Amino acid sequence: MTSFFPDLNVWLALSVAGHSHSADAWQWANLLPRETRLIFCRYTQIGLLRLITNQVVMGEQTLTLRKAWSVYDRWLADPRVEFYPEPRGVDAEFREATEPFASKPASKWIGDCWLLASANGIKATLVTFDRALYQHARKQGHSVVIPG
Amino acid sequence: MAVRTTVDIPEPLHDRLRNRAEKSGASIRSLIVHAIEQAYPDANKSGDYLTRPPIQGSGKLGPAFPEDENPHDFVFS
Repeated sequence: MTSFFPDLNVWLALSVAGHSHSADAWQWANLLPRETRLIFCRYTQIGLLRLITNQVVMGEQTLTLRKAWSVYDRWLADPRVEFYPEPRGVDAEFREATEPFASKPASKWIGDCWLLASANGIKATLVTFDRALYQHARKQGHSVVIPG
Repeated sequence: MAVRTTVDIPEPLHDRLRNRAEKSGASIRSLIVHAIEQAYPDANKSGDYLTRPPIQGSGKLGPAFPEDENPHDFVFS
């Protein structure tokens, strides 16, 4: 069984029709076999809830927290989607993932490295629209795809 | 339980499958299984698969709506 780990922005593109990558995300998702797993972790769960309830992000489409939970629950009702708890040993993976940025004030990479470490910890393919993250993940030997 | 089977398929179709597998990250086997499932759906299966975004609003999105990058600052703020 193939497992995919969409990053935060991919979950947003899959969730919001107005996202510029929504069509690409769904073209990819609709091609996946039903036995595929799409995995949420705590970070992408909280992140999606935070983003779709944030007016600066969602503008006129901002959801209440209750509605945001219903969007998340709808995802979990899809047989392909599962929530995975933090994988054992992810701390070491996380530290290793941040090592290339050790000499930089790389705040953006801290979140991306956590996503990369989580995907690696559960042996799933990272799914991202971020070309810099994609290139970095490939360079580090991780399994990663850009939908579309 | 899986059953092993061997079929001959046209080379151009195999090339398309291989290209699609490389682009999507799914295996050729998975794509074939998916195509069969779509062509011959199981009437007894009651899955609730999402096929489009659950948020279909038409209002204007906010100024900080992301394009490519993960908006970590909005998660941690």
